[in-house]
Amino acid sequence: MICPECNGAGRVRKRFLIFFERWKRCPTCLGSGEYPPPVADRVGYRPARWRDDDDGDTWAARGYGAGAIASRLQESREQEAPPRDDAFEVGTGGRSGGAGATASWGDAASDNAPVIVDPFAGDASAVSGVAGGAIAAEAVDAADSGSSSDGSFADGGDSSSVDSGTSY
Amino acid sequence: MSTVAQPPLVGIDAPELTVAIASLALGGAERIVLDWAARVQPAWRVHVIVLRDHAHEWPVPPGVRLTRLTGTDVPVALMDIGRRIAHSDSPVCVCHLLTSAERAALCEGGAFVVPVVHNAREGWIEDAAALAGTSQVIAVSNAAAADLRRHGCDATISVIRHIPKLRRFARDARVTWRRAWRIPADATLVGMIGAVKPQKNYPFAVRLLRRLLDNRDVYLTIVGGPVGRHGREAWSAVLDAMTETGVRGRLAMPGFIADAAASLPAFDVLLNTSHYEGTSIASLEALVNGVPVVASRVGGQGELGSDGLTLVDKNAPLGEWASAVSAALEMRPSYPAWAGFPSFRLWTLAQLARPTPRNDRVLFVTANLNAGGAQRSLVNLAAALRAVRFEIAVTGDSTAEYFFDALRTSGINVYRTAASRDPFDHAERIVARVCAEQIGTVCFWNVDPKIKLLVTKALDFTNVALVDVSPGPSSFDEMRRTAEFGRTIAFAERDFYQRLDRTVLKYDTPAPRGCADKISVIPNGVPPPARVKASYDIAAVPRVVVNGRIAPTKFLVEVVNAMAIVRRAIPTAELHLLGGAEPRHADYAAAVRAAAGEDLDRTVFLHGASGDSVDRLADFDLLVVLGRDQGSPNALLEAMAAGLPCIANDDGGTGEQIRHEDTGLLLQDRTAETLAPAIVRLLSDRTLAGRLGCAGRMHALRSFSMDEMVARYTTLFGSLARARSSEEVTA
Repeated sequence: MICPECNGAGRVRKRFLIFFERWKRCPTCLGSGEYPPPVADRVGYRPARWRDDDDGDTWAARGYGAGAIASRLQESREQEAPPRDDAFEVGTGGRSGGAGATASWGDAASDNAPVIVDPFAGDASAVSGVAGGAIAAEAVDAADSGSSSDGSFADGGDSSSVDSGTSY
Repeated sequence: MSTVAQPPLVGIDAPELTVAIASLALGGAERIVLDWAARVQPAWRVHVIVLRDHAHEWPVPPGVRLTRLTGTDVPVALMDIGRRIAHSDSPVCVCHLLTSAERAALCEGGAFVVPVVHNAREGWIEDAAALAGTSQVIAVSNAAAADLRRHGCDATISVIRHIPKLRRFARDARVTWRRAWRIPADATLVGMIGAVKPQKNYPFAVRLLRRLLDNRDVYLTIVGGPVGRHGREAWSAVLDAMTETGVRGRLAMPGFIADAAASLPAFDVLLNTSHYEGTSIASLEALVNGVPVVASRVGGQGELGSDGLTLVDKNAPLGEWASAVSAALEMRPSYPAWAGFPSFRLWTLAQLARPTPRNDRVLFVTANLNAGGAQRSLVNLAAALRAVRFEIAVTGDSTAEYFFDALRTSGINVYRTAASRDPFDHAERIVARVCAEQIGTVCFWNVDPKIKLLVTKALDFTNVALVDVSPGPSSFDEMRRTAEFGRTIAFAERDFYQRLDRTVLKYDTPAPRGCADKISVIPNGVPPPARVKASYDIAAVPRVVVNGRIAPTKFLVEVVNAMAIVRRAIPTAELHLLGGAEPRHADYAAAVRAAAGEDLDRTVFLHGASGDSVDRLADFDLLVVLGRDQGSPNALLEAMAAGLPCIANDDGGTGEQIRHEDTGLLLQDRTAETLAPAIVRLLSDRTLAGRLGCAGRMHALRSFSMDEMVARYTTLFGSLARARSSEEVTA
């Protein structure tokens, strides 16, 4: 369907520095003008085709055109999405709690600057309370950090030679 | 709905798959493990062993059996676990972030341990030498694998690039996250996800923010908190950079978020400035969900290409980074081709594969038991292969029962690997079967190349001998066409050919590079026919026969048209088609009937499929075979063995069967205009027909006998078993 936010234009006006405006990509349809946004062809991952010994002909029983792939992919996105009850959603509090602490860096709270937490506060700090909900955000003190797949730290001295780590 | 009886599904008691991980901290490796564990169920049960508890962990998906070792004597506990799984149906334990000592404890218990390396060299604490003695190592990117090889790892390295799943976000996610971070709803926001540690180079990102602000209104959010020995100083360095550049009003650092990817809708672009990476799950997650990414060209970044990904040299000046970010912000987003690709199932395959001791058992894997030439040659071989212990796995539905009946009657163990058409389903069951039954050789016989790639990748490190029986160039082309699939699973055509122990060609034809030195040419063989042509005199009316399926690749319309030309000279000449059409070829069958027109059932007869067509060949006066992409066509051999004079086009192995003017007539093309004169010639000159028929029969019996085919496959499988055996002794 046509994107309800940009009415299919794929772009929306954005104001900056009070007096100026510019066009930016519509965040709802991701610039496509359609909602949900279209998806590209998938990698040739598809069911094994019907085959015979020497039958490389094009009279295939099933088509796997771009449209079919796109719709299947879209379908899979719907199917694979977690049930809403189970999903972690912003505005409803986080699974791991910790919502509602005050912002803790500089004068962020007073001048309405973006949030910066103090990860070294006594309790696992979190972002400031925000009208309409709170986001669970946790900080990890270096001293008690266990992993994060970095391997560049010791954990009680018994796991210091982990060989890997990724980017989270 | 097909009513054709299918082989029974293979019975596999899905074993519990065991994975061990140092902790469930909010890292990429941990996310990979739990993402796999959540998605692989309920087909497979999962047991996750967590060595250490962590204050901030990913949630464990329901259904996963979790064993925590905190508070135990970890080495002793691991040894005990190793002992238990060693005696289970799945003694494999894939180990993420375990030390060599921890892995050794599992090994000591008897488990087969597969270490996973998640980072580039700079991120290792143990050297590659710690992997000595390991059969297989998994690396999360080609770059990480290359680092391992460069540093002396001599194990087989399998690359598994994990592709996060597509997800659905809350409709108000963008607004809500921004509100929480106190970032204007309509602002341009650059996001970064990842723990705060020196290699992430966040201070550089802050300076980049400063540069971007010269030209646009932009904010930066870094999702992640400090970890590790240097986490505190890394966090401080970010704040210092912020102060120095005066961007406090534009920077948010909300710390760790339990499900960081849930915040992706808040971002207009994801930035990654890492000095090194194994692979970045955050980047992949962004790309999968349509968020453009600008990342440093390190490690595995970009191995899965995407229009939404812009790579920048990690040492590039700020201006270059700023340009890349600006361009990405204007980019029309696209979902990468690999979005939705179930690469997580490669982990399952890695959990299933394990070394098998030497064994002379053979597993033939074939696509179906349709009424085709490849199937007929396999059934012929299976019926006569007495000296080899084997079974047959069928990966798809069959449209005819004849060959399944023949195999069942012969007492051969034949089964389907799955009811679906998903190559992963089949590969998993094939690998599970091979390892559980300790089968020594897998012989692909007309199988989808994706299944071949998956099985070969999974068994790469094992001693299982792999054989691909190929009809020739068409099979090689088919493999080439799966290049994108191969790239995505990090196991391509070249890897496949390199790993194969033997490629069997049906006729002498060039093979792809990589397997040229392991070629065996074994043409099909046919058993002696029940009936042989006794006389070449034409009894009543001249009868031409085609014995094969009605399919476009058989060029039957051309044959029908040729017969129309033939009838100008020989009005009574008849064409008999022995063979049926698959439902998918109904249109082509109609085209054949249309070509016959009024001659249908007068001089052109479609007899349908039958199991005794070979025995009827002697009743006809000559046989025509037209085709393309042929290997060693059975229909031609069977007719030759029956003494029938034959005409075929020069394609594939037909040139080895028909020596022109000696054992038959070989056409240079398959047009009706070329075929018709050859038919007229053999129907008119019966002396010539008799000479070609007799010579053809002798040629078929001498060079294409069933005994010869059986002997050569028996020798091949025997030599592979011995070769594998000697490798084990050497090892």
